[in-house]
Amino acid sequence: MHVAWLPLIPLLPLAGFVVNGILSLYLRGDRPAKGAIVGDSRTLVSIVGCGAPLLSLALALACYVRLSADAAPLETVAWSWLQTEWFKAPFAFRIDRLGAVMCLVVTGVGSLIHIYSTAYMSEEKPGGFARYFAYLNLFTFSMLVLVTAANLPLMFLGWEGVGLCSYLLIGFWYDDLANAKAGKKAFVVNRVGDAAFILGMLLLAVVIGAPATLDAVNPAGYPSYEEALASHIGQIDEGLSPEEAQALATDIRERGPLDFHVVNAAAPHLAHGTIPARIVATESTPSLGGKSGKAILAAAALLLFLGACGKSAQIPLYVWLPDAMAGPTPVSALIHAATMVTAGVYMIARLNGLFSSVEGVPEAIAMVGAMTAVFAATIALAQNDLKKVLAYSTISQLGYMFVAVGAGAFDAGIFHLVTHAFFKALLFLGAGAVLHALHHPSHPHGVGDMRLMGGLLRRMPLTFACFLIGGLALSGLPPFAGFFSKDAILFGAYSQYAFPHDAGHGPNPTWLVVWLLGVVGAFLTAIYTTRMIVLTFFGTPRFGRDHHLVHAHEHAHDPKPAMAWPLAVLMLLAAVGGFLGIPEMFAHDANKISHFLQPVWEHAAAAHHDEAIIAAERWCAIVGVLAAAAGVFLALGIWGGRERAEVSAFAEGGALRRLYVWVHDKYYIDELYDLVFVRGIRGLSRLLWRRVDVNIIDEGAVEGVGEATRSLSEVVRQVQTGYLGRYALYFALGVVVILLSLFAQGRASW
Amino acid sequence: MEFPLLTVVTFLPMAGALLIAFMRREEESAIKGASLFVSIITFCVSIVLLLRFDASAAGEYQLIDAAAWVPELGIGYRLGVDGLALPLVLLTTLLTPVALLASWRSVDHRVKEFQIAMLVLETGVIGVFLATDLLLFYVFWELVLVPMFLIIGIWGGERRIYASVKFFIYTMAGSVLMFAGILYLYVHVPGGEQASFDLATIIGARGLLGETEQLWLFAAFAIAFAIKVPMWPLHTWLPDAHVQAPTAGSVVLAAVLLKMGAYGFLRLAIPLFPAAAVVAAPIMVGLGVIGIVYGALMALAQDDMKKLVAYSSVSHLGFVVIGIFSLNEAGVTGAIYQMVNHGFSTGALFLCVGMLYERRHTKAMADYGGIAKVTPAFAIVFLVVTMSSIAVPGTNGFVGEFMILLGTFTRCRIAVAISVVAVVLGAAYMLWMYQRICLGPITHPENRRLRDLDGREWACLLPMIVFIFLMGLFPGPFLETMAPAARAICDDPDLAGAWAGGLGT
Repeated sequence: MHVAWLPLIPLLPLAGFVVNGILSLYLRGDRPAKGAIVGDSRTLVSIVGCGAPLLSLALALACYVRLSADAAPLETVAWSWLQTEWFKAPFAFRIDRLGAVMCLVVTGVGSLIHIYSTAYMSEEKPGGFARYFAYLNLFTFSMLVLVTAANLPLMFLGWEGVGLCSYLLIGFWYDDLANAKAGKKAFVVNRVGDAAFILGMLLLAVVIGAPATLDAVNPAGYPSYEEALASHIGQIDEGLSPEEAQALATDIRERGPLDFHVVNAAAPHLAHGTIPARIVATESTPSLGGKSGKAILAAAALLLFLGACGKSAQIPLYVWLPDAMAGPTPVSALIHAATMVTAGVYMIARLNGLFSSVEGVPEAIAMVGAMTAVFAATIALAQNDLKKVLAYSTISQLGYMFVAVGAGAFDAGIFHLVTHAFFKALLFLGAGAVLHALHHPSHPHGVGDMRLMGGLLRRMPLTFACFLIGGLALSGLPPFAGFFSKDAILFGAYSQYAFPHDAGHGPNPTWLVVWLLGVVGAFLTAIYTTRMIVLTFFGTPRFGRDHHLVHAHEHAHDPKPAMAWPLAVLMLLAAVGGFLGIPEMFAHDANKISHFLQPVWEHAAAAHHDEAIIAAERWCAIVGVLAAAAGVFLALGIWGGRERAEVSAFAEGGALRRLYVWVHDKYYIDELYDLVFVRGIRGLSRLLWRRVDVNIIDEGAVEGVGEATRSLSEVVRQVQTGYLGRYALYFALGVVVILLSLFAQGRASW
Repeated sequence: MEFPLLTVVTFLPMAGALLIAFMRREEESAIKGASLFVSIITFCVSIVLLLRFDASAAGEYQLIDAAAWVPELGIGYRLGVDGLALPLVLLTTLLTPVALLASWRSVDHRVKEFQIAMLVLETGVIGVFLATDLLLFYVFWELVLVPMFLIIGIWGGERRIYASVKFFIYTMAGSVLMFAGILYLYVHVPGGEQASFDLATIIGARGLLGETEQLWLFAAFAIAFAIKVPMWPLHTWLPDAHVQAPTAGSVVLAAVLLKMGAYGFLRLAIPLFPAAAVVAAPIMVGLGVIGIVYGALMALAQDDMKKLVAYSSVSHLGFVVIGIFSLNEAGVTGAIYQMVNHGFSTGALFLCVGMLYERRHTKAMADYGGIAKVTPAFAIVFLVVTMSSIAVPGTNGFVGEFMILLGTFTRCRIAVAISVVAVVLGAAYMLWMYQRICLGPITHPENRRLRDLDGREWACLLPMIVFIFLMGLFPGPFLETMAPAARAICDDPDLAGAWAGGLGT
């Protein structure tokens, strides 16, 4: 369905960015405010800054309403962008039900965080305040482009755009070099993933769209893809009627080969060899076997997944996210928890047709996700900084989402994405309230060290309630939001093991391992969450270690209304958001989100429920809840006692102590990366520059040629002595040589 | 007779230079004003050129100005414009006034000579892009050399003599080879009575050349162009030239002069010797890939802003080279696009660096740090330019890079897989530079009172920013002009066998 105003959803925040950006330049520095317009500049900036995402939210709601009546996607092509003989990727926007869910999360949670920020950032200078909202609006724009784009390159525009905003906001307080460096690290690590993303796009573009005329070996010489397809129609034996093949070819030409709809439609056929994989024709054998098509698609899928690992902070590219906590806390909530970091999950769900038609890649995705979930959770156990705990928790929870999309449970992945956005935004904003309460001129951006907290329960009851509900949801305890979504994921992984689609191969033990890792992760999650809440709110205050903070603590209180209201809304959502997806075991056909998203998964088999499956579901849920409950009780046992409220519960004794330090120091992975990649490449570049570029190429070859010429001319100069007699001799010799040569030539021709 | 638009665009700057030669040397502001005025008028005329240009026939020469020059020797005065030349001419006419404006204050001695040199340079560059006669092309090619030599040698930095002599001899060495090639073509193709320097005539008769002859001639031309691009390992003159040149010189050198090399490949080397180009393509792509990665690694090692930007040019032009030698429409269109992109993004980078240099008289990054706090407008512009340089989508760099990679990917996947390393390294060296200049605490008290951008500087930078986004978001009109020219080059039947023989995988 054509809807011309779709681009407005991202463009409104862009307009907000422009206005606030200009205001930030106008209000900069210590210049006194001038004129009525800046009389209360913060109000103006806040209205523009919050108004833009709220208007987008209204438009997103309108989309939601239309789409719940009719699942046909809303779309529009704004203008052409990348274009060449066989390739095109226009500025095309499309919102289907998945896009609508994402838009609602981005604008909904986003608006709440914008509102929260008006109070949180109120101590910035007017220029900084405007700059902050400009960046936040630019982020909202980029994120909305990412989720409304109809093709991969346009998604990539949003993808790199959110990366840029992340860079800017992590380094928002850039006069501290550490913050600036954290921003740079985030951008560069993300770029590793982005390079893979680009390669994945190219591979897909060529395999789907490149006409055979481009290929070196082109036995048939088809001038167009339609003809190439048409010639194969006779050979198509399954899945694709001639009309469908024609329609697909037309789609490829008109929408471009990287349109999501096209990729999802073409991938299964390419994988099964029902349509020719063009790239195969460039191999020395001109056969158009389906197997090669499948291998190429798998390579493309893997590359795109590597891109997702960068943006969504999965092993091996997760290292930037903990450092990203250098940014203001609302930024951590919006970008580094609720929205941007879930882009990888969204991308895979968006390309479900591609990812469910390749072999091996889904298992790899689920395995990476499960390993990340456990790995990051262990690190979270030993962090002392409130935000660092939440950061590793985010990495871990993103791992669960990848388990879901790997297991083909796309709806469970998106469901967890939504609930996680609620409860993790809640936890981060709660952490922001704690930091805000504990700030002091010596710690202008607050103190996050839990070793200096404790006993905040009485002073900040609302904030405690946030942490309690958020923590229960994060731990996956019923009936809070996280329980339902995490349960759906674990069951998704388990059912891949117990009820494989392709029963012929028998159960694949990979999925059992994934499920087990998921359960272990749930156990660990409950432990670190409980530890975090206990250390922050329970026990006696430990501020005495920092005399500045004693004062701050005495005045610590719950936040102002502009911060409290968003917290209250998110609390509600984290508490009841899970009822969006009530599983089959509790009520028949009550899974609203799964039902709503069903039309999006074009090629996934519809879920079926029989007695055995429901029994397994029940069993899985019991294991998951028991693991979480065990974690809570264990953590209460270790840190709950008044005397042991110290963080040092593990910090004594020999081997245990060493283990603790190892985990606390994040397994020294950052140090390893720094040594191998940062120092390694920097050292290599210096070495290459000094030795190869300067010594060999420039001083050796280039100036060597110059030197050689000069020496040669020195030699030749010896001949020019200036004595007339010498010259006469040379002349005579020359004449003789010429005569001799003429004579020799002459004789040859005679 | 039709109005000789191309002749006017080409020689207007030279005429202006002649006029300035008669002005009194003391009247510096009048001289500056006059040369800026002339360059702006030239830009306006080039806009007329754009309006008169028929994009639907961008694959062939239009608005041809032809006259006999030395008819006895078959030397003609022939100018023509197509979809390849037009964007480069416009880039030149736009960037010359920008460069003049940028050097408004920094060039304070021998002002008159400087303005004359810049205007003569403009004529030379436009002539190179418009000439369709080999000898005329060569005359313009050499004409460019002299003013640039003087600009570096007279108004340059401390080691200006070394840099300018290196620049001159290096480029000259290549030019001599090309000149020998041109003479050989004149004598042998079509030779005898019809001997001519007319490009189209020679291309039409190129069949007379044997395979080995083609290879040798291609090599002669290719070395001249490879030096100019510059391609690895013939690049070492570039960092020296850039570091020593004054801002205006660096801007013009990076933005337009380097394009002459890439242009030469597309206009001369490939159409004249297609069979040889096909043979050489894998080698050229290989050298291009080396240039991409090597240039990026070199940039990472630099402490001098200008040197860093110069090495980043080596990396970016590596992309242009692989695009050209993918020898297909996507790659060549991308290469032309990237040539223009690089003009804006690297030109703007040199402008930014020059503005810092004007304030602090140092190019060492260690002398800056934290200046975003004092010069927020500069910091924003510099960030935009940085993003363009690392090809963030939405800026011009991405469009060119993506099309180049797309074109090359259908030829040689390994080359692309290696090239994307620069996506990471580019971000690393550019953001590191940005951090060292703009972010962190202010470590040098001198930087506390830096002046932010003034009106003149905005006037220099604004066109760059406009084009960065225009070409990044609305590439349609640009591509419609460039693609037909690219197609005309690639549709050559002798290129059909390109990349055959198993190299295509």
